Amino acid sequence: MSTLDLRRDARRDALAPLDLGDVSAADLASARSNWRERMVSEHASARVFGELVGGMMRAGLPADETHRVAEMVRQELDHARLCAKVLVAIGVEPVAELPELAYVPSHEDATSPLEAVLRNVISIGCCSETVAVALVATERELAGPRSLRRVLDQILSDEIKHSRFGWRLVSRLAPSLSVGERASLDAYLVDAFAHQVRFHAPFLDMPCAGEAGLAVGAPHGRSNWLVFMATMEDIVIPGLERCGLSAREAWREVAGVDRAA
Amino acid sequence: MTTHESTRRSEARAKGLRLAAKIATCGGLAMAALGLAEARAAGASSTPTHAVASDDAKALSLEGFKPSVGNCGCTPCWGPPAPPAKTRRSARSARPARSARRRGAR
Ligand SMILES: [Fe+2]
Ligand SMILES: [Fe+2]
Repeated sequence: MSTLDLRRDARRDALAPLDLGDVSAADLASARSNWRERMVSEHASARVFGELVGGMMRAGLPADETHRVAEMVRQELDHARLCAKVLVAIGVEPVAELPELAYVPSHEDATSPLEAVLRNVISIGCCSETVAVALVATERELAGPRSLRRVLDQILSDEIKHSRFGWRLVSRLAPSLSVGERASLDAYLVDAFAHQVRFHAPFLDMPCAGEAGLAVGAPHGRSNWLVFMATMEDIVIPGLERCGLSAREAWREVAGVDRAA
Repeated sequence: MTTHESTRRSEARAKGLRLAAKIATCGGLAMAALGLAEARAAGASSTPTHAVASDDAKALSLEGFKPSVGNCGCTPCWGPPAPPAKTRRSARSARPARSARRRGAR
């Protein structure tokens, strides 16, 4: 366990303190912990893109795509700095524990380097980042202070690139997969989707902030869960199906019922 | 929670989903996905009473997922999961055996 300390970064071009007069004590606490967790999460997500670079090289993917992914590492680190500035503006030191981080799987069991990297691209770009776009865009709509909207706009513009990258690669490369590669990738979708549900299920236990709280980034757990589910069922699953993958069958296996039909 | 707040959330979700659907362009998918996602998110906003019900009731109706897959949400696992060996399905056992060779060599 190490410490993520972004106090110095937050001081550069610091945001003006936000007016928190209308925010209830509970919502303020919720907003503070949400921005702190997001700071850690954005920072930690940089490593995922870093490790993706090697997989892309092994699969012989175009150099310009690899270059874009390298830039995404920097973008995620920048997002953490933006969160640090928001934390200071809502009265919190941008210091947090950085937990022990999971390794990004290299998928030794995959049928080919291409299938291995597509597993990660689908999980990161098509699933996580597409959900992130929907969530951040929703949050941006509800944000109050102009400075906060600007921060969310900046984060959102990068998450859009990250999601678009996933869809671009999968739509271009999935049609060239062999029967064996596709079957193996289809099987992995069950794991990828189950992971998405596990990762986002805590929304259901989160508090649901009022309007003033939402305006400064306190979450509304149930609303976020709806966004997650709609993104998976109406966007991600049909999108992967369109790319020739058996996403609906995998989702059915995770969900237990055919909600996507 | 007021009806006004619920409606605002519903409209915000519709915008968020509309944007995500636009990005997931894959051979003409976007338009269909866009309509579907928007209708799901915004359908309740025209009738305020339903808007309130929808926010809570719909989320709860989807809660069934939770117990079946567990609960994680931790930052360390943002990113792709490694496939657990026990979830290998028939499709996996039928595919070319690159993995088996590698495991055997260790
Ligand atoms: Fe990010
Ligand atoms: Fe991202």
